Amino acid sequence: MRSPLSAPIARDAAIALIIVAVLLAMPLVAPKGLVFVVGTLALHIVFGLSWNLMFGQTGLVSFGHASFFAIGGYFYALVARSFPDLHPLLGFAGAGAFGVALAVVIGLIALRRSLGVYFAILTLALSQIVYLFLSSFTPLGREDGFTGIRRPVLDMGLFQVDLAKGDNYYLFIILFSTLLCAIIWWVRHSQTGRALRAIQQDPERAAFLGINVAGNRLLAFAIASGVTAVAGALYGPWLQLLTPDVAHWTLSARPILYSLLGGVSSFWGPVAGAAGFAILEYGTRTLHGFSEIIIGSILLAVVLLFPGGILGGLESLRRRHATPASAAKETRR
Amino acid sequence: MSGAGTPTMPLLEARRVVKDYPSVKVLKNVDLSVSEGDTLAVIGPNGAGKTTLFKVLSGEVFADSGSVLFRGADVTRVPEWKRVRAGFGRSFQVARVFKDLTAAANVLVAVEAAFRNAPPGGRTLLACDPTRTALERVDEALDEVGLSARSDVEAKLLSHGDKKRLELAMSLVLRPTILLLDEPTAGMSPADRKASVDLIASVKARHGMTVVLTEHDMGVVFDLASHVAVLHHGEMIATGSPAEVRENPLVRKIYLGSGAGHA
Repeated sequence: MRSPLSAPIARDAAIALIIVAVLLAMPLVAPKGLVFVVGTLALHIVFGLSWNLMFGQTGLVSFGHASFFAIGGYFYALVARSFPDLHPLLGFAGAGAFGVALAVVIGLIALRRSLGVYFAILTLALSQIVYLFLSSFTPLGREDGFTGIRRPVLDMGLFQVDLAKGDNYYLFIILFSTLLCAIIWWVRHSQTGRALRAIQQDPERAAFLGINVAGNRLLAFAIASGVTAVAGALYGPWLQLLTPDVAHWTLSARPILYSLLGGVSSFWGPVAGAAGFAILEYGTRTLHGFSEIIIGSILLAVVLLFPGGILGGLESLRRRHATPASAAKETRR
Repeated sequence: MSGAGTPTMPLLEARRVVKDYPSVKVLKNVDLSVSEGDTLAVIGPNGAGKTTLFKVLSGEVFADSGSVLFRGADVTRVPEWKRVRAGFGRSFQVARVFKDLTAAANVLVAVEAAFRNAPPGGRTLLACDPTRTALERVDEALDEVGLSARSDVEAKLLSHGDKKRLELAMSLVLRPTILLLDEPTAGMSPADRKASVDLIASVKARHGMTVVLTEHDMGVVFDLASHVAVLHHGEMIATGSPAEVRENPLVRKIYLGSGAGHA
């Protein structure tokens, strides 16, 4: 029995399969520079999706999401340097667990009473603290950054994969990011996701259904932070270098831009937004000085013309051209 | 309905409840007692403190002093979501529903909140869709309040009366022991009002729950209530059966007016 209340798993799995297949084939046809951009994009998609789990789904505005990206990155780099024999997958998982633990501690304090703009400011302050810490703490390389982060060898029992070879680390990033996106998708479409959506719509009403609003907000914050920390951990060996800039507030603005550009109310919004942003950046990379102006103008235009983002705009165009009967038949979620 | 006259512990009780807001004393030593199976209507002019009393009873705000007891246990400082899990249900004066969700999705949230971690019918670890049982409950509840035909309509597109009905469906799936209805017929046309009264009466008869409501319309009050409490300037000035309260000279003077009676 398919109910309109069921998750669109077949549709979304098909879309994901196509995207992943295209991305995995990239190294065969695309120049190295573009492959690097796409690998980074995959991590930024995770970054954007996890932020929008807080915002679009739960109604929490964080201005400091990059701090968890940075914390995950530095955590993995430090662990990998300190314990070279540790299995890299444990290192990545550890970064996620560390992100979750930190988010729980911060969330217990920050989410108690401060919501809305207060939570946004608190998270911004947090990201500044992380930034200053990373810029001044000598064991983490201060402003020169954490250098020489190696791409590890994956020991899978029966076989070994050297991620330093060829495009292996790129493929690893794509597959791992897909897993992280799937986790976000699952949370969003699960019973917990429905409760989060109710909280986003009207927290007081949700409380009067017996939903633990504070607990669920903390859960969303912890999941988003943990997933982002793993993405940050994957980013270190990709760049082989981490600088405090990964905790800078301009990076915290990225998932916000991705979500607004793509559309906050759909799962795919931040994916489309991050991709659109990457295309703009790549397309204007040679126009020194003009790049920011062009990107900024296009962002402004999209947000003003399509309040629902790229996907919201496409959806309203589709509805306008669809016959009333078929439009009524399709109730999208 | 039980007609037993044996003295039992009240289901819900307010004792000497005081609630101040910065410039006004809203509730001054309010006592209130509701027994299992009662339908208590709290009436009073605008600004009498009805809504504040409602908020204190439901846990939306806490009393400054005094206490609220549920089945004899002190719940004065228990937050609303825990009270709901203990058996409270509540509707709002202006219906509050999740506006971007369909009617069915609204009820589903309530059903799943009621089931919490133990959905009947079970589920496999990775399944995220609602269980068949949950969907059946949603259909039942929408059917009960007469919204089946509108289940896929986004809540913000529903009429005022339908939003109230949806809210009632969301409360009902929680299977509350006590249902708090804040002005259930506010802003309704006479026809809608009549339908609402019938719906509340039938729901109460079927589920046997205790109901506390605030209401402006005296017709509604005398149709539904087994007991009436009159709040005036934050003080409880009369309680009793509808007939007793109607005959109370003080109540007649300050609130009902001489011509009040059945609508």
